[in-house]
Amino acid sequence: MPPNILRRRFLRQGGVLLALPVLDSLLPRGVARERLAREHRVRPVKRFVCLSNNYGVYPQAFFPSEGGREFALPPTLRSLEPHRGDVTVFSNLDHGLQGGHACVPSLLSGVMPVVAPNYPEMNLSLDQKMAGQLGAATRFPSLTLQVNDANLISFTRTGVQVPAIDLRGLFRALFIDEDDRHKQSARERYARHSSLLDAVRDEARAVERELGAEDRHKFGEYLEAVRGLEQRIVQQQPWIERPKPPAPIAEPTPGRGTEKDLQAMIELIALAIQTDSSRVFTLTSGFVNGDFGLSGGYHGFSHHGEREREVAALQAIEGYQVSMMAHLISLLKAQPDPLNEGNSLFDSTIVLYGCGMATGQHTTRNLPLLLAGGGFRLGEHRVLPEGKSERLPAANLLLSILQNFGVPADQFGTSTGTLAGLEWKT
Amino acid sequence: MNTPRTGSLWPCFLAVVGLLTASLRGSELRGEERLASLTGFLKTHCYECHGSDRQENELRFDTLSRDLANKDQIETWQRVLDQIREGNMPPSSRPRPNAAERRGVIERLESGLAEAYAREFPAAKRPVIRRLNRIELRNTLRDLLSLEQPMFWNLGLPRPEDANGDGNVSRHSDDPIAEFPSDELEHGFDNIGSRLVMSDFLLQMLIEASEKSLALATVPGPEPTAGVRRFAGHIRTEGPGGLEGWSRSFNPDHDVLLERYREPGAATNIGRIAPSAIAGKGVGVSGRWRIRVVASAHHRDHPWGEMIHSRTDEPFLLGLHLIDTARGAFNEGNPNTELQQQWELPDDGQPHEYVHDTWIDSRWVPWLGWENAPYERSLRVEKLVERYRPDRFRPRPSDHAPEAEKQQYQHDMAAAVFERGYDGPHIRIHSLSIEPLWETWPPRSQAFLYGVTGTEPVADLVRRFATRAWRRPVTAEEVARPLALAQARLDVGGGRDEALRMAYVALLASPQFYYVRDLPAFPQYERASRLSYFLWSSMPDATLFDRAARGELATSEQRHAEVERMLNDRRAKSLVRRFTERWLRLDKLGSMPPPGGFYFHRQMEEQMRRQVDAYVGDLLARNGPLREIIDSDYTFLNERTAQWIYQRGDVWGDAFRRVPARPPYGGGLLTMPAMMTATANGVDTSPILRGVWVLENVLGMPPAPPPPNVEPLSPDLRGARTIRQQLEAHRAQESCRSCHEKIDPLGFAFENFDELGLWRTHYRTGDKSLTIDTASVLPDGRTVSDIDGLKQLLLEREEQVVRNIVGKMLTYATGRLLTAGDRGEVERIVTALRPDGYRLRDLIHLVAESPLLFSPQANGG
Repeated sequence: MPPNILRRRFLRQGGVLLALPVLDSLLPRGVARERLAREHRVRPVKRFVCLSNNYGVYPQAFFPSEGGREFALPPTLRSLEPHRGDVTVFSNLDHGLQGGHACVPSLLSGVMPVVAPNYPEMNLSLDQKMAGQLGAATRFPSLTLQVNDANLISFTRTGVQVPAIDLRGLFRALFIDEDDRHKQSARERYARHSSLLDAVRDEARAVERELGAEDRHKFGEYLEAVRGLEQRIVQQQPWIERPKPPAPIAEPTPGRGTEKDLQAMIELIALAIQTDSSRVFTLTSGFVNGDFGLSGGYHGFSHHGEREREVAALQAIEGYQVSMMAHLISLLKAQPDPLNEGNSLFDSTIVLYGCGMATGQHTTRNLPLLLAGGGFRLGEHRVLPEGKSERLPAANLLLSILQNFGVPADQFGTSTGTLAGLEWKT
Repeated sequence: MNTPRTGSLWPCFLAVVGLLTASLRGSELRGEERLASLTGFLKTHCYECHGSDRQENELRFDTLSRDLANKDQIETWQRVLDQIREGNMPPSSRPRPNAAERRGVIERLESGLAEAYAREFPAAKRPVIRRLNRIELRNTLRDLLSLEQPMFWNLGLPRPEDANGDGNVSRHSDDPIAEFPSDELEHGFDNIGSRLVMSDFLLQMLIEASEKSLALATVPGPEPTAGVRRFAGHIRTEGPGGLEGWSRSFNPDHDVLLERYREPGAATNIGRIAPSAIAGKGVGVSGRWRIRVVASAHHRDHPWGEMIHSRTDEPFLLGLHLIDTARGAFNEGNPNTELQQQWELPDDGQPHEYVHDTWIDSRWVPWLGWENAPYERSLRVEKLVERYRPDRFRPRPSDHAPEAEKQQYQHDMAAAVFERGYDGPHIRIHSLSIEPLWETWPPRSQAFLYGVTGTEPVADLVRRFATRAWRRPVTAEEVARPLALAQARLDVGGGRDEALRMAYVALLASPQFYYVRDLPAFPQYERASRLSYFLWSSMPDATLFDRAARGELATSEQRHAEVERMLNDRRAKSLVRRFTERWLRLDKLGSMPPPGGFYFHRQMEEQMRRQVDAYVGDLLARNGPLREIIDSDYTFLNERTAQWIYQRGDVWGDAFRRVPARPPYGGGLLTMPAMMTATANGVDTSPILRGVWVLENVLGMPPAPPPPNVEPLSPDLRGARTIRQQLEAHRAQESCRSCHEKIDPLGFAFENFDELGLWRTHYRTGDKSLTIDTASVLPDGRTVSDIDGLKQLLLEREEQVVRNIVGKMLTYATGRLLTAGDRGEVERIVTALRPDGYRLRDLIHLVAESPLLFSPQANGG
């Protein structure tokens, strides 16, 4: 179907008038266009969006009963029908962990926070690895987002959980330029912190000299911290001067329930990708009393014990999350990619849906995982080997995504290689 | 030594020689002899499985050296001692030694090992340097900058604003640690140096928190003119609806309190008196204020007992609270209120004056409530009139009647009960006044940062700040860099205050501030810091610094006196809260709350924590025995916990007080709702979780982890089977039984307590009801029939429980996990506590004196 017709259809359906401005004016001024063009010729610019919840899924309504390409979409996945050929459902992939809720933060690394110190990159999550690679190529190396629940899946190289922003926070971050006073105070703050870190670095060296070997090893974290902060200042300083893109929509009002807020958030993500404000996103969504006409709490529903009312509630919540993934795919398909000519945004955006805990019963085997976009070859229900010795680590999927994104790595988290049989266009 | 009755002196001589030789050969030999004497016991009870034929668990005792000469041997023999003492070995399937024999073996092993520890581990493993965790950081900033805002005295994390359980919790707070990530935990402790991570994120947060706190401490300008304000006649001039509001027409010179106030966050503000003139904006100036209240109590005995149920066995309790008007004062959803003081009013109808001094934030306002007032939901004035003044009664007009008629009706009914004086029980508030009490101007925080006159040399101020912030004397060279920052700012025309703040932030971002570590060059200051972070989770105060400066922390008597002073300080509440929470894993409280219900509407989580604080705080104040953690004949309750959890109606008011424990809930700490909620998942209970909790945190004997490919149980909540039936596999399968026979019985004993700590006798799901069966058999054949049986079992293992608490407190105080070499110190403390019955305050003193906390230089004096 010609892209224009698709675009008009989604504009009507979405209820959001995305008057898509001419591309050039959206790119941050001052960014070396030559550098971008160069980047593009070397390899395509990719983006990554991870959508998640904190309670897993109701498996009977999520996993298709047949494998291959001709499978029937179970109730929770019905909204993906228009995108059948572009989405793959995985069965029998997980991180091989135990621990119920404590495994939720391991989704994008395979490493639980408690054992993170045993790994060289601790429990660095996929999105942060990508963001580290991008540096300050975009205003926001990554955006960690939440709608009505805590985002638990983003971790830095030093094992710190990245704080998440909500709907209003995202809109402001993307489109509201700070006024001159703010900019001046931001400039001053950077300058102040720079000289502060100089002074602090010298003191730190003095302390280091007094320490014994074991202490010195631990104290290395502090020196790393100073270096990291200095680096961030250097990277972020130029962005103060560059203006943000003009807001193509009015500021959404939050607090209207998950149905509306999640949709608004998804639409802002699409805009953020389009304006190249960021290329890496994680979003966790939850539930507030009143959503879908239900009363109760997400955690309570997740302990459904096979009771009808709770199971129905879960399916409503999860079905909506998946339909929002479908909505995002539609939005991205309708957009030509400003940075990779000839492609739609969808071709260069990897969308992953999943959770580090499989079900509300705290099981962690067979995680719910959906993959779309990014130029992957998709459109099937991949049933991976089930037996104990043949199982594949879900981190292999993460490594495939990482390589597709453009990071030259041959290992990530608990991966043993890329996921066999998963190809993508380079 | 008895001399044998023979004519010969030879045996006596030999005995003397023997004694001399033994003492000359020294302690190592005595140890070896002691353990050598165990061979008989070992041959009978141990060699069969741990000897030449078989070596279960790779342990072999016939060839094991008795020397205790190295760390491995010590560790092995310690394991032997532990297994025998816990009754695990010899196993129940084999003939058991009698009690006397067992005791003898245990004694010999204990004394042998004690000496071996002292010999092999003379130097304690030092803690790795440790950064401040977020609570310690907030407390330290509070004490460094003399900040008094209520959020700095919060014992826990910043309170969420929205407490109705819908999952959407926003934390709008000025608290400088509001955005900090959680501190990394190790076995539940959040202050383990090797585990706490430092990152550039955290450094950024630290810098921002420092800047925020300095801003709060900066109070420039002249002394505010705030005089005494007296509110009398009618203090409250608007609202509430109901009898209190209506009575105003009849009481020109006082306000009345007739009913209980609802908890903060309730939709009505009946039962609260606050000066309406300032209720919208607060007292106006942050600082210390003196509050005077004149009140009288009337008619504790009254003729309306049929309709108004009030306490006649207690005096009326008048509570003085403070509330944050910035959050809407008495509007819905404002949990920011604190009880300051509670006064008992004599029942004489005479006005008495009550005074309370406290720090009040400029936006807060005092209010009064009757803590143990009658709570009559349907106290309508016309019902009183109908019953007691029937001549004045007429029925209420319908809802469609004109407003004026309804108003007239209310007025007439109120007149009937009030015009000759109210006969029911009530408190009259005659006046409330507030009087500013600034001790000094500028306030302490301002003077510390910028000087009193504002002309003191910048270098002096920076150096003084550094001495406090780095918790030790500093030289001019050390502060040269931060001082240069300040100077650079002055040179480009910046203000003096601003320049000073630059230097201060640099001093606070420094590892000299943010890390606690050994200070071999300043041993007295090191002692001061280790003590203050142990007892207060904060930096030393001026008195403690003073002692360090004068070298007055050198003798154990001096230190004992100082620890006593510190335990009596309000900051010791941090120890009560934080240690109990870490040791009993109350960090899990709030992680899986029940879906909705009274838990949120009554803010039960906070009440549960306060209940634990009250109990342990009392135990500390009295130097009570640790045994009362397991069981006691008393508990601490306030009205909310009594009503909603304990289902008792005999405790009124918000303050916690000591009451006799009643069956079936009983006393002790372990079955309190905080523990029961933290060991459940908000929806149902799990005997396995609670059993493991008892083993890990109460007995200190953690079970082995589950095998890697066991799927978690998928509970069937449709009510068809009890949890015991669902856990059949634990008894039926051999591979499960070996661990679960030790875990499950302990957990089943708690099953009468549901996921919030309420007592239940049946599992009820819908219309299905299954009886709860709490009895189980332990591996040694003993039956634990219910929670009392479990408490009895734990009381018999009192020493093991104490040993565990000692270990946990040493971990908390040193900021590192204990190693094999620390066992000696643990045993030494347990032994020292034994004669007096293992008391809590004694324990804290012993830990505060333990060489494990201090560097060799500090230990040397």
